[in-house]
Amino acid sequence: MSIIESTYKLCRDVIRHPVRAELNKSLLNVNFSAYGQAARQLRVQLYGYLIADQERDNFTIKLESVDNETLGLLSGVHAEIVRINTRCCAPIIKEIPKAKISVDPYNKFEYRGSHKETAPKLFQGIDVDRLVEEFHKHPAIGVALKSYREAGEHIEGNHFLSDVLNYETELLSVGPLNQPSWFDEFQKAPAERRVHNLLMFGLLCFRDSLRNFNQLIFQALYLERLTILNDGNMVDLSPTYSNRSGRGVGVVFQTTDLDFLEEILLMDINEIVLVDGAYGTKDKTLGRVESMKKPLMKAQEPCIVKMRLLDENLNAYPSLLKL
Amino acid sequence: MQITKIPTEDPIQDQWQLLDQFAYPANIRKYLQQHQIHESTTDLCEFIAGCISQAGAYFQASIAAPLFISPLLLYYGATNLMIGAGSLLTGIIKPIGHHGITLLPPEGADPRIRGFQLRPCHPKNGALTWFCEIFSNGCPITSHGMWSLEEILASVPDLKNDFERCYDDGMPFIIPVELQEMEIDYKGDGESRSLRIFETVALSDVSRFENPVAHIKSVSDFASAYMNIGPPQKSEKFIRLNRRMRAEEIGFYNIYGKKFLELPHLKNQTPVTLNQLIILFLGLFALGHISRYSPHAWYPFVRADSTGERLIVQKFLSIANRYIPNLVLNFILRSRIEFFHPGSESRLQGREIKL
Repeated sequence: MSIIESTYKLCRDVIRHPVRAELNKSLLNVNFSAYGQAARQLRVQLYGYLIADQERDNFTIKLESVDNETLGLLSGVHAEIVRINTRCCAPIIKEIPKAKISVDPYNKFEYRGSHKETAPKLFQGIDVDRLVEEFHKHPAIGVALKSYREAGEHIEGNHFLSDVLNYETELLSVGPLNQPSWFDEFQKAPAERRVHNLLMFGLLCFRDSLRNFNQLIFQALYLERLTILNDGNMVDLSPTYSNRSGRGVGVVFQTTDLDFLEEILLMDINEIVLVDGAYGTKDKTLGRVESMKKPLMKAQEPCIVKMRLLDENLNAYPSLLKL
Repeated sequence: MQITKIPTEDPIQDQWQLLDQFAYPANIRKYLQQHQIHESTTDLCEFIAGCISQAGAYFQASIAAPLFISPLLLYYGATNLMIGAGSLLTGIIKPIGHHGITLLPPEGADPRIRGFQLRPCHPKNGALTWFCEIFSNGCPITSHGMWSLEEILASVPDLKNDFERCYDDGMPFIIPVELQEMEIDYKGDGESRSLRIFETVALSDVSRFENPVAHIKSVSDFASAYMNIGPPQKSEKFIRLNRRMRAEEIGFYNIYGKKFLELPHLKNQTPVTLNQLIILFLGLFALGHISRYSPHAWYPFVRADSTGERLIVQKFLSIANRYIPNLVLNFILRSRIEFFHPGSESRLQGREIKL
């Protein structure tokens, strides 16, 4: 079993779990309000609802209040997910404790609240050990640890965080079909620099896989299946563009037959969808939407999305590990 | 289908020049050999050459003839041309014993020409059945019941505006489609640009239908060729049709390269779509036979029509005169032949689409 397969299994378990229905109802209740929208736009899944509530005074629009029961439920389940994440990255943290915050998918925001231990548990009765085991085999761990040992340099915790976030920002800013120009010169960089970068890339890739795992769990709380882009709704599919970070595709598709919720989630960016025909094969590939253009108020007007393709480790930047 | 664009100042003359090559047995023999259709016999070659030559003469005569007899001349021309082309395409001389259609006068209070009815018949030796086999995907037309002349007129693409002007209650059977190019540059570097063709239907072109979306969706094979469509927003003037990737294109192009979708005719609860050539042939049969066998209806119509119906009939004949040879040529040359005026070349080039 791979990370992707374990994640699918976990999503199926989550969908069948009784707490999921409660969560689904709560999310739908708050989703179409200014609060829900603000929370989704933070793009950190359930954590967004907690941060939006905490930071409500800092939003320019007034956010509706949310009841404590809902917050308790969301924060409890979010804490469960964080615990799974922590177990997954244990091999890295064990050797590089200072890198802990850099591999945390939620490291961009700090939540000062706490969750109630009495809140319903989404993962109660669900075996996550298999997933954790698979994450422990993630190739990014090997790259990060090997580079760390080779580098032998002293790096502060904040430095790990800032490097990982900077590289991610750089990758996101050029879009999923391109790469930062300096990647072509990577091999020419001094050995020390290369090793340092590989360490950061390892951490970045691991964090990205965790983030995508979390996103898939989050999507399973909304919808019972992944959105599929295929012959039924794709108007055009670009060639698969490969570069030194990974692979990306552009898709023009029609949203008419999509579920309303699917469309809403797509609009939020970061949704993970199945792309039929990417890589030029018959296989469906997971893609993470990074940009979307959709004309409003026009039926059948096609949307253009660009997405990064994920590998079997849910990693959107697998080529970084081979630089 | 491949498109062949031919610059000309006189498309009628040029299309007949192209057809006239098959008025010579030597060329027919070459064509049959080249396409490995059938062993060519002298009888077959002479038969085809004779049909094509006669067709040309009938078409030419119809242009100069008055409306009293021009439909009949055009019908004879079309019949000869289609029999000749049919023999060329199949390599056989089909024994034809009947037109394959009978004409019935209008029923009810409306005496207008549009009320005449056509009943396809003689499936074994009727010309119409054979033409449908060759030019309309073998449509078993005799098993589909009656056709009114109104339905025929409603199915001719370039007659749509005249049809709607003439018959306030008439419902067209064709939907004009606009093709639009959309440039896609996924990487934004200008080097990976590609063009996609998008199609739209103007709401004004489907305004006669109570539910335009349902009508568009009723086009045969619509669901396999296009993605689902929903009702347009209030502000929209078009319905966009997104082609499915890898799907076969549906619809047809008129001789000027304009695209249309055909609404199916419901016959005995079966949706039936006929090739344009057959539609025009049916119309010519009706008008030719009205003029020949119902002079009591045709003479006052030609002399003193006050409804404007004569105008649409004249336009239909003019279209048939120009279209039928072109459509037959398309079948023979296995290409969509588009004649265009040299002055309009640049505009047309931008619209050329390889299908």
